[in-house]
Amino acid sequence: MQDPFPSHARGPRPQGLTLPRIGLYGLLVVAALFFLLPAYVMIVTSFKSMDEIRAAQIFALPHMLDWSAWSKAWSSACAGVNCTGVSVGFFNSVKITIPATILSVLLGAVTGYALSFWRPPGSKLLFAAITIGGFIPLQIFLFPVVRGTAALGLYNSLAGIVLVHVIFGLPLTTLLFRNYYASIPVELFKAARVDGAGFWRIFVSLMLPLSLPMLIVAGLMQMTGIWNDFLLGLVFAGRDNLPMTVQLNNIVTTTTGQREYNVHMAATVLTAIVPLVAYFVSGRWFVRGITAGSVKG
Amino acid sequence: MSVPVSLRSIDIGYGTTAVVRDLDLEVASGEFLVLLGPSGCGKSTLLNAIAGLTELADGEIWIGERNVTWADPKDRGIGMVFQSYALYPNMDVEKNLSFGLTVAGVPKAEVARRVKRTSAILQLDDYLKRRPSALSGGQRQRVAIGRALVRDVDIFLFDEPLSNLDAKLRAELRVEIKKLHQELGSTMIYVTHDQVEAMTLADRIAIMRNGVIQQLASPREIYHRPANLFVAGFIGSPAMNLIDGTLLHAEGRCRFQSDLISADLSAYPFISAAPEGDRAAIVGFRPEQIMLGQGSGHPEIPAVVSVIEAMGPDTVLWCTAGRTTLSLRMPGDFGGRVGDRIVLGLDLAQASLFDKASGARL
Amino acid sequence: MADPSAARSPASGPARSGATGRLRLPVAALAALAPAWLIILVVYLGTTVWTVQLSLTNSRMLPSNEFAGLAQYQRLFGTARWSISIHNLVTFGIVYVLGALVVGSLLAIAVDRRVRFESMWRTVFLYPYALSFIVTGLMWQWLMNPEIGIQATMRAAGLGWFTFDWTTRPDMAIYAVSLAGIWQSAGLVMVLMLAGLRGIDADLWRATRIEGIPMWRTYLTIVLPQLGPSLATAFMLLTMGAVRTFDLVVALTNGGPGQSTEVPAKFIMDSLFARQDLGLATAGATVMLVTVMAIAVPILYARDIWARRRSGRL
Repeated sequence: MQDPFPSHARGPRPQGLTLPRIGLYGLLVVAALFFLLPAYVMIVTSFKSMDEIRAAQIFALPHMLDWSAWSKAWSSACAGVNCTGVSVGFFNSVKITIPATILSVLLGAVTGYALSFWRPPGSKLLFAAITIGGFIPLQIFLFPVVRGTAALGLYNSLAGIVLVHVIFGLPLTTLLFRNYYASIPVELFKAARVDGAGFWRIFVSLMLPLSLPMLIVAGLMQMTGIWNDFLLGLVFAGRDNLPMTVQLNNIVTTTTGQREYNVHMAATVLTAIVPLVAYFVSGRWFVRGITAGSVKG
Repeated sequence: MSVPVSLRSIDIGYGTTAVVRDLDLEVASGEFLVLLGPSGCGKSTLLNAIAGLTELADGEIWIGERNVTWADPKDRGIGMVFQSYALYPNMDVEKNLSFGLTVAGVPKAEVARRVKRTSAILQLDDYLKRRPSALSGGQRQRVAIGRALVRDVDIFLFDEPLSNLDAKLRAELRVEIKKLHQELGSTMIYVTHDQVEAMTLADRIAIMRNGVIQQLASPREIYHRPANLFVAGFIGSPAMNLIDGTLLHAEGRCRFQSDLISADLSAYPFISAAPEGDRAAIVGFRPEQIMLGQGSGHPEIPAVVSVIEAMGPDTVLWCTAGRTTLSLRMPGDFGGRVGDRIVLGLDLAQASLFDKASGARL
Repeated sequence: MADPSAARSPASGPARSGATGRLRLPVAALAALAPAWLIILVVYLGTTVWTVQLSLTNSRMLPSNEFAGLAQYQRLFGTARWSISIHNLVTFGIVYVLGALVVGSLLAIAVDRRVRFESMWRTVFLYPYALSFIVTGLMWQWLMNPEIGIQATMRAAGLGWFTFDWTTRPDMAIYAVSLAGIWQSAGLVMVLMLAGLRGIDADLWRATRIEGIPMWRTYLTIVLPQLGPSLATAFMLLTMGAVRTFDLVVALTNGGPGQSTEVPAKFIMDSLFARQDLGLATAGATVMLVTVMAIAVPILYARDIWARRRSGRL
């Protein structure tokens, strides 16, 4: 064993690439390959021709960047008799996601604000109910909510699916905002009340601007969850408003005859792009959302 | 058993982020050395380097006869006590004390013997079975000290151990640490930003600023003969009174000249010979070095009392003389009132004289 | 996190509400909470009651009010497809939860070791979380396709013995679902465990270095016990996700081959919309509800106790 006290020792310890360190980076690299592989394969395959795909070299780069699968996926891929590509689904998803995100985030913010600072009678009960409610499986709600939205004339409509997303987004958004407001010094609130401001005044002028980080986080969480949703869109959106995920699945599973894998993969990438871009641009906020949403106060 | 510590030409950090620069320090065997300074001065970094937790950019560290610069912390024969105690939260006190020894393969009988001895010294017998979360701050810190004690180390390192405690507890534990040092006689290196801790505990204090030791001397020396303006201002509460002026040579003698006083400096103990030429200078007096009343035989300043702080055992008077505010200490039963006109006597022989440009003591 | 209620006085207390100080009830706050109350009472509570009630009637295609006791449940547990679904769920769930916990924790520990490019690793490991389960399911379906996927590529490259066609084999298909699930969720576990790891006092690490305690032992005996809350959270989220698995199965195998990847969530959906058997569907949903609550409530309760113990004793 090397003498730990060499008399010439000076300055930083000469540290070669030690075995544990190599193992560590090795593990990380292997894991990274595991996680990146499916995405790589998908993107690469979407640029190949069907002949190349049948040649079974999924790791190989395409001979050339063939965009034809992409344009077909976007505008003319067929799901049964409808041959509109996923573009219709894309715009439907946009129409669903934007209002649903905005409304559910605002509702969560107001609810969290009221529960955190004002605490009218019944608040503890309400918050406990909201928390527990977040765990109830969607299958419990399906039949009654279908009947309910039908009775209101909202079943299979855009307004219906937006409403459904807002309803089921309540637990997460309320939790996020209530926890966030719990970390804001209550003195700020008290000072505003002493100044004579009321419920809405304090919310709009003081709390909402302070909530910017959480608005971003909650917005991201909701946007991702709503865009990626499948089950609710399948049940409540109606044929005219099917979100991209449902359309994608329809296209892939109802193909008769030749399975055009390159088109399917292009369609899949297109469906994944919006939340993925949001993620790459704002990864930090995602992390924050995960940790904030899981620490249930 | 204790050993000396020798730091030679220590550099920590690189380039613009250098925290410590070309530092030399010899700690005698059995000495209690305090590293004192404001936050960011490099004292904790230096301590971590001695422990082996931080790497050196250059230089050598010797503990006793051994060059430990490249040695692991566990091989250096040190024990360390942290500000946040760093006790193992899921183990009881007894396990906390014995865990390191057990992992190192020390026989059970020996472990038990050492734990028993440490527990007796630090009065931990009553809580051996408790978990850290069930202990008070002071008790936790004792366990932290015990963890170092149980390993029979040569050097004890303390990283601001009392900063998390309230004032009363701090005072109690300070005394205990001093007693521990007297009992064990081990070499102890102690980091703090609290000058009271430094003054009461240290055999010698190393005051640091921006990675450089400003003065290394006994507490008494540092208090009465600070090496520069920074040290003079850091130690002592209320702070040393400083008067701007000029150092002049007239008729072969040195004089200090300012709009407040004009005094002869022949009695002043210059470090080396009286410096050549005239220069801007600052003279400093500790509050207790200023005398009240006329006829003291020293240069005198008229002043007006502006604030009286009755502390109990003594009273601090704040007065204005011209545009300068001076503080002085009076016995606790001082009967003056705000607005009184008084005369202050300044004995230059007791003062500290600093070069204004460099801040160094003259 | 410390309970904030101790620090706040109720708003209806001493605050001056206008010059006359009449109404002690904060009306605006109550009004603002009305939508939440409405949703909770009408949707969450109301539908739960309705669904459970339906499961106790002899509804078939249309809801009926004829009380039938536990007849639907008897039918349910007598249905082979349901039993198979439960069995599949248990297999899938165990592999998925354990796999994601282990992989995620290892990644968290690895990233926590002060590696370079930390945020790059984090980005790579977490991006699956941003994907829909449909996307994930489809991706892995193609990778495991024996004709064009990994198996075909490996065999074409000369490795004739290589097999990776789990989605086409009834005995392996459920593990395919677990694999895809682990791929999607390990990043989430990593984030949660990393947050827990970062919450550990840095001085604790220094103390173990000074005492000479080896790293693996530090993780095992000192760090891991402190990660209890993080592990509990991760476990709970994973288990909830497993019980609700629907999208992933639909995209990856659609329940097949045969019934080897049928899961309760899919069973209920099929009963409701395809087979139009209301009684069976609501009975299944109620069983799901009870299971989920049996897992979630104790864990939430335990975490609440943990949190109170920590802040109370400080």
